[in-house]
Amino acid sequence: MMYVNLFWVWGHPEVYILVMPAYGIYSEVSATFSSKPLFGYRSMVGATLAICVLSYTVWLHHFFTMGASASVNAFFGITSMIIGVPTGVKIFNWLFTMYGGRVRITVPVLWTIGFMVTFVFGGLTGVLLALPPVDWQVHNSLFLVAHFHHVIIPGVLFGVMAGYNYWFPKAFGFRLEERWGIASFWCWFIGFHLAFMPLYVVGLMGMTRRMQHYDVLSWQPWLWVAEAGAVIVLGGILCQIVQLVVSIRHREQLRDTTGDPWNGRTLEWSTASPPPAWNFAVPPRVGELDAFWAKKQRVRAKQEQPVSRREYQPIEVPRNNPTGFVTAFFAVITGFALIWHIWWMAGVGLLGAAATLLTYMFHPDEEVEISAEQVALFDRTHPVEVSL
Amino acid sequence: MSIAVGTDDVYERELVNASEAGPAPKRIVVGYGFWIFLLSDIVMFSALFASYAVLAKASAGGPTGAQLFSQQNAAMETAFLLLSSYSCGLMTLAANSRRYFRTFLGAAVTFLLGAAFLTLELREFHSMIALGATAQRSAFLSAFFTLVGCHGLHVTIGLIWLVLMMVQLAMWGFRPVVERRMLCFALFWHALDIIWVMIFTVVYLMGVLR
Repeated sequence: MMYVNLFWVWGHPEVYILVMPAYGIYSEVSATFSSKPLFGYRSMVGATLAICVLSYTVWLHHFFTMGASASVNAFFGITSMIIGVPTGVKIFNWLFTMYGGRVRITVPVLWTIGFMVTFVFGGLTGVLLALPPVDWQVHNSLFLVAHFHHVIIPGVLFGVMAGYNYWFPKAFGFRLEERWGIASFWCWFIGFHLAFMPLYVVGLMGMTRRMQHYDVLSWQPWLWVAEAGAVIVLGGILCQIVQLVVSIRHREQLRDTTGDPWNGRTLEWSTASPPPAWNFAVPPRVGELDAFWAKKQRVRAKQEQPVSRREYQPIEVPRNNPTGFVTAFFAVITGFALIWHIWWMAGVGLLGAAATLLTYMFHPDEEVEISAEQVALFDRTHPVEVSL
Repeated sequence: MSIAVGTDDVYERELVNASEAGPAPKRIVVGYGFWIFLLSDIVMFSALFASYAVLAKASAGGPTGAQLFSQQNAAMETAFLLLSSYSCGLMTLAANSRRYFRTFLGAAVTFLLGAAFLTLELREFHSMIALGATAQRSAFLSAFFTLVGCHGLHVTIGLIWLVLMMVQLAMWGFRPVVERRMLCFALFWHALDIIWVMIFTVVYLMGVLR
């Protein structure tokens, strides 16, 4: 139990580390495509901080059946229910961000709405599981499996897909094809629910996880439905691959020349797509939330002129360097070798990582200076709609 | 680091007035980043301390802390490590005023004291293992060797790092990159001291309490 405690006191905060970046993506997407500032920015920050702290107080709910006393289980049951509150605050903030906005139903927005619907299901079953007596009944059952897929898949994967469709044009200079993106979303959304909703039922019927075979006939129809759902999810994955291939083929039609394909709000959309290594030729001034949006509004209302004259100065940027990647490669080898007690291989991994770090350490020029002329030339050849 | 500024006078005035003089100096950024690394290290040690606290009495009929630990040895280890932190501080002061000899001297004293600490620790481990008190013997000993060994491993890496920094100082002099790395080393070394004070208290002092 020492190991399980240590594992989950790390592992439960870790699921919030998975989900927090996705929350950020949903905040960006819902604000941008509703053409409204994020609702309740401060309460959003407060909810994030509350989750950060509470995430360290719930780990024992992964093993209520360990046999801790009723008071210990009650404590962790209550904290697990409380952590639903800041998460609920976030859901309401996203809903109110969209409420009254001019929502454009693009692919990232579909993933965001799909997330909200799905995640609330997962959250509700999570609050059920936070009750120790209920948890004792469904511990290790497919009810639990359905629950954590119902939070992690929308909480991470849907967010990744929303962010992928949202920032792809910024990173690569062309948008992703929309129809295949929509098809992919619907396959995922429908397939996901078909695959996991029946698992709640069979979980309540007593089916445990990781079964090598089963001989209960009444489970079978539900598992067939789940299998059909999995096949539809596979269709969603295929659509994603097709989307990428089609988008690369049609990249000239999908090219983003403005740097701001979504009428964005935040500073990254004021740079060219893809942005140069130095991001901003001149450090932008930020006076408010959604600085780029505010600037666009002022320029359009003729209260302010876009910057026309600029004085460029050389910019120092880090040199491209493979040290991190190479060290991580050797670290993976070391970790693998240590797990399987292959000592010679652990030695090779450690030596490789040490040699990589030494090479880096004795290579003093980590920076490269980009000349003012080069910065100016890039700015001239990549005009964006509104320069900050 | 140079920063680009607009031609607009208002902009420049605002920039200076609002103290928005571009990104923070690299020394600050590097120091901040290294603090985050140290905090992650301290999180790991917290988990090891928590495990040790839970398992400290689980000696499974084998030797207990009260039978194994020598107060005298632990006190000497503590003295060496605290003094090495002091000499490390003197080295930082010398480096800040760019005095080569004093920097090298401070580093040499720090290294010797750190090595003396490590020698005592390894001797202690050796004598424990000779008595059959190995990491496999009991949960208490597993937790002990993991916690104290992990600290010792950090000290070993710190000593290697210190030697490398002295090589770099001899090669390149007080370059900004060398200064920043020496700053990080000093932070690392002092953090190890704090962890040792905890180990001394939790393992050695509380270990011999009845």
